Amino acid sequence: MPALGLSYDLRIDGFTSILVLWIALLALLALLSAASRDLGRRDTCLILLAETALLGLLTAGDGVLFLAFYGAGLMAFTFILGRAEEMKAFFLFQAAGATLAVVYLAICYYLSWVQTGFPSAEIARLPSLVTYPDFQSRMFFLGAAAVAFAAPLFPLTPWISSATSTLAAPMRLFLLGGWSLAGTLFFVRAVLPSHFRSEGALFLSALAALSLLYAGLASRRSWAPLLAGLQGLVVLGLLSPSAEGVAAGRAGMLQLALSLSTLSLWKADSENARGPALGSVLAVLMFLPASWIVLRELWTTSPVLAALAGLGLLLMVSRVVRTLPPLSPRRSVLLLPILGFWILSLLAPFRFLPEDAKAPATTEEE
Amino acid sequence: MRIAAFGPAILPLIAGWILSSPRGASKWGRGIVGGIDAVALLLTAILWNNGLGSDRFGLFLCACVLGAMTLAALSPEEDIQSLCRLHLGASLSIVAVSTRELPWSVLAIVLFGVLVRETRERLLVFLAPGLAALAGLLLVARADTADTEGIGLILLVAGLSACWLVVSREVLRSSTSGLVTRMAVSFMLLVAVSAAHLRIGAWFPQSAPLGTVQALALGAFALGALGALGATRITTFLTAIALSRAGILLVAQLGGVAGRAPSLLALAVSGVSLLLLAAALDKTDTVDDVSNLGSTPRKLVLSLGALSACSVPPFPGYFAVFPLSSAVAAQGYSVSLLAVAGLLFLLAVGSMRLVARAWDPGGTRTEAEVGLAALALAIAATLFLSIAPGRLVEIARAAALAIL
Repeated sequence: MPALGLSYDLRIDGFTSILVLWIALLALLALLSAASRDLGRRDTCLILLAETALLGLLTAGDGVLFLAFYGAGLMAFTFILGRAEEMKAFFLFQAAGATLAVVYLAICYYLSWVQTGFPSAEIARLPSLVTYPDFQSRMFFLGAAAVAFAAPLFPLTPWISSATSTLAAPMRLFLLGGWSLAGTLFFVRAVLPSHFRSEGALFLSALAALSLLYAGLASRRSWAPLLAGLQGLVVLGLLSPSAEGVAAGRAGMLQLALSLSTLSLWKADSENARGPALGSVLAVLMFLPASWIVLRELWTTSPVLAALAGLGLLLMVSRVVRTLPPLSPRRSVLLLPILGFWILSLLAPFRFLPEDAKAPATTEEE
Repeated sequence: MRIAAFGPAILPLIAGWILSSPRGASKWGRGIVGGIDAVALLLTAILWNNGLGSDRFGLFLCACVLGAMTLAALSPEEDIQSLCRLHLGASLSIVAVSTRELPWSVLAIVLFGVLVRETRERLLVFLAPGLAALAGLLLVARADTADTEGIGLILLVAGLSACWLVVSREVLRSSTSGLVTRMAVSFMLLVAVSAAHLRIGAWFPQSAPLGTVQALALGAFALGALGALGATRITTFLTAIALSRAGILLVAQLGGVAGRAPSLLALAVSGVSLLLLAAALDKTDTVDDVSNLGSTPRKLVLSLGALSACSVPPFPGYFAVFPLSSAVAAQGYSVSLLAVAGLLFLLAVGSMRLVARAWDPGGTRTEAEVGLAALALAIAATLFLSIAPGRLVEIARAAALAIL
């Protein structure tokens, strides 16, 4: 669309290729997690639509296209929820995040027009936009607010428990394992490369650490503290000053999705469920390696936040292990591909490194 | 060949005459009228390309008016009188958007309002803005100082906007005709008023009343967004959505020269969204009734119309947001833009109220199909405005260049 300065180009790099693989696998798992007679035509269509939107979200090269897929995903997941009250609550919070993201990209689009003479929201060009330091800070704050709504972080989580508790297993699997990537993906692709190292980072770090603490202290067994806590961990990693910390945050995005997918296989299972509670231990194991690196890196810059986040993480882990019932044998089979994917992701740590951290290594090799 | 340029204005009159004839209400009569409307629309498209030197700005708006009229004519409307009035109104609207003389344009708009109002009550409420617009016109025509011209333009802009609001509210709340016909009337008047606003901005760049436009835009948008959130009756909801779309069009006027093409784009999107919404909500009285909709195509059309009206990605209207906001930000209205973003969010939540009810599995289902014309428009709009908006942007730019 040259008339609008937008493009339909789809791009893929090492990091997104892993996420693309994961979404493809997740869709398959979601379709297999229920008998075909239980999964109606409408639900199957919505899962496939949501998969398309998520794949577009991962590969979009233009910010406007990214948001178009984000909107498509938002609508697909809104309809997946099915009941009016849950739809409205989910849409309210997610649309708030989407609105902030639209404002963020509209400003970038305008800046590109002013600075180059051609309007563009191409994601690769965003870091080259020149802005004053205080404006950088405001932009980061805007992007961070969008992420806080979309991820979501504490206290923007009221929709989660009601939405997830009413969903059937395939839908819950897709919502928690797929859509949980969307908010942080916007952060990784559009906000962090362009407007990093500002005062807004401290605000977001504090919010992320609070989310972890909330996850540890929440008394009820619900999805809201769990999702907010894990998202907090991911955000803390992404805000880390070292490349290793950022890589851990990026790996955390995938491991969060894997872990939530594992956990989401439980709820509403048959009453006579048998088998070891091994799954809950696996779910915890999946995000522990990344957690260790994230907290270690955070300790070097902000020991107080690291201590708070660590305490929250410990409490959350103990709650997850204690409260989950055992899993049925049928669902246990579905755990195997998730576990395999997790091991695969551990074997390829280089893929999670940010692009600017990879470049010097390549030069040295040459 | 030049006589062909009068076709789009005259053909709706002929269609109106056929409708008012004794056989106008028959299947054949309605078919012929639909055909004539389609020919008028086709003629406009031909005039765009044939090198006749036609006013492309007028032609673009003319196509918007004729598109709305054709959809209304093809919808299952039972009230022939309303359809007659719609066709006469379309002719007047085409006159208003085609003429390069402001007096003719304002007169056509006021006459349009007189013609389409079904009730003769509260005449003063209608006449006051109309007279204000005419007084403004008089002041502008005889202005000897910049101040007088400025006051005249303020009266003109505010009067025309208020005229649209009064007529739209009355027409949308009338109960004799279908919602599509009512919405088409409201939209055609909006096109005529927008044409006058855009021409005022182009002809009086120094004394254009931008402060008034800004206040009207934010006021209309806020009223519309809050109205959509709190509405319980469908007509109130539709009036609120139409009002907020009018607010967006006024915001686009703040963008100056660069805002003209996005303004035209937003106008086309408004027409599509409002008409789709009206087609899907036809024969429902309250917002609660929406949960009884049984037909899936109808619910899809409703979702498309409602979400497109608030520019939710990736529905039609989303892509227009970026050039529009850039143009307005370039003129220094950043705070107003942020307010608009907040109001768009409220509007989206208000629209989602309706969409969520439509898809709620509870409720008693009543099977009522949406018209074929509405379905065709929904598919065409989705393809054209969502998948390939670039072509529409080029057309809107060509139209905006011809505004002088």
